[in-house]
Amino acid sequence: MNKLFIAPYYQNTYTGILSKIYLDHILSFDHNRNSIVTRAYGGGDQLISEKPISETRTLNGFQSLIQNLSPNQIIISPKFKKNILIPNIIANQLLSSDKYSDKFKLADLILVNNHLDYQKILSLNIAPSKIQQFSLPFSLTPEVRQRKLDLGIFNDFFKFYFIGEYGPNKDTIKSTILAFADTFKNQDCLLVLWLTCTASERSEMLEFYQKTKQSLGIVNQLDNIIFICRPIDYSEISAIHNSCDIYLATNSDYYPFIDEQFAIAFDKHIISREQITVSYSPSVTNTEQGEYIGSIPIDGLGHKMLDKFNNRNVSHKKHKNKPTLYSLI
Amino acid sequence: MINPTFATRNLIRSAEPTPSTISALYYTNNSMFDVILETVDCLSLIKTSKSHSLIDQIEYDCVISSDPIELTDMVKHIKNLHMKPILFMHNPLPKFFKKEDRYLLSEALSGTPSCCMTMAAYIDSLMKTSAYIEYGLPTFDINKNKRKSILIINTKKNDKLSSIFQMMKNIHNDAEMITSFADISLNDTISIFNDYAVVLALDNYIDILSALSCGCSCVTNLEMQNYAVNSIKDFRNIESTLNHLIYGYNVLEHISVSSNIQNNYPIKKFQQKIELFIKNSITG
Repeated sequence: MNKLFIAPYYQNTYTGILSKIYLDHILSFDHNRNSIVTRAYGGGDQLISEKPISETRTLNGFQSLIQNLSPNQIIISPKFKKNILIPNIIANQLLSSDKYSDKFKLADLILVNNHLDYQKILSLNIAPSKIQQFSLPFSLTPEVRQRKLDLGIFNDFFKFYFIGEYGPNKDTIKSTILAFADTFKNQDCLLVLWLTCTASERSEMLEFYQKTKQSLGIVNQLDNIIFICRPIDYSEISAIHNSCDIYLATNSDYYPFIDEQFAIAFDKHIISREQITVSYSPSVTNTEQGEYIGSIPIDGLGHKMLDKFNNRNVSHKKHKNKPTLYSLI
Repeated sequence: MINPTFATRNLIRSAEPTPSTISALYYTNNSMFDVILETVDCLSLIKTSKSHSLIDQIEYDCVISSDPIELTDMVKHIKNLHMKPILFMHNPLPKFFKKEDRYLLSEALSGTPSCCMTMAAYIDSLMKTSAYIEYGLPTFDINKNKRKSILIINTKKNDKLSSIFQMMKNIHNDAEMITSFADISLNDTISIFNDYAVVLALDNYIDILSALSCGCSCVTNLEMQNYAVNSIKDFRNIESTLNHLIYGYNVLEHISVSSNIQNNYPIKKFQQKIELFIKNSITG
């Protein structure tokens, strides 16, 4: 009991969910050694109803302090032989200033689960040897693997899916609707958009979808885009990844990495932002036939979606394995 | 604004083995309790009050308050900053508190370790699992030649008490009024009390108990079980009551009360029990 792990693992937020995944992973490996003492940062009790035993323990020594916190919450403690950071980086905190760079410089090891974080920390003049990438540890138990979304008549359709907040992804979402509607006019394909949005934003999207169908001349076709408009819950994350086929990793917000990692864990095909052009902003022109929605970004996302759909039975390149978190701490 | 690393530092401290010295953020009660609590060896009290902001440069093991209403307002914040709230109850809740208010308070404070310092507070306790620890006072020889007439304890800045003080000061030049127990040691407090024949104090049982242990004749509105005090319900005829006690004071009538209190409230026992209670509270 000489390593202390501090993280917000009670909170039902993206950072909380990540922390919970780290906690489960660390404790599952540490089961026989009992070298980990944990403490939950911040309030909330939505993700865990019972305290893990590790939280009732106290330290017998001061070997490593492992903090999975935001840079402003992190401290470097000289009491511990090793200060290990798994920073919860909110993009602006690091991009706007280097006021946290001292903490990173003083840390013994910085662990990140994605390349973007790696690049950001590297840009703070931190020695590359101090930064390590790890693969997000999932324990896909049979129970987790069985969780599925019930999509009724669409259960057997081929499904593309996107998860994100409407605000920062407005243009991406509209482009995706446009590209999907145009590309998959007569196929048993479904687009699931799991969005955090307001009622008026939902109406705006539905209206946009109907106008898109109108301009494409497919008004009578079955609506094959599903809008689920509420924040995603921990148990639902695995269900959507488990139920759908191609993950659209085109979210411009900062926390999609967890979804990308889930998609990897479920061995799903991924269309990532780097692979396509989604800068398209739809424009609406009034014509005699009604409203016409401007040029379709078919050359980017639509082509890629079609390509993935046509090759749906071809196994894709396995995602490269990185070291696990436990092996690094 | 509180430094976000403050909560992290408190968390690290909470993971360390129980420290020999417990660092406590202490919301003062402004009574003799502040003075006797400071004598508990294992406690390092960082005193504060409602008007002061939280000192976030030090890590704390717990936050101690004697005011359930004040603590209710802060309890969520305290827990989010990873400190243990601890409640000391000195008096029953005010009589105007309705059942619903009591329920809301007990819900908000559920899981908060609490300790009642008087039997009246214990019987009326909000929490089912409250501890009961009696106050502790040191043993000392009382001053048999009281040099001064009257001491008024007015820590709640009661206007009526202030005007009584002015009135008494006009008659007795040596009359004094205490408005704060901050930065006074136990010995100093005892020697102050020891000088006076009469003490007028409202609100705090421990203040009266301390005055009685110093052989003072006490005037109060509190119900003091087991000990004879001069009870008042209002301030009518207060001047004549006080003068009657001052002029008629006879130390011999107070020696046995003083020794009873000193025997019945041993400070060592108080210190040991408080230490155990606080250590259990922060590790529980």
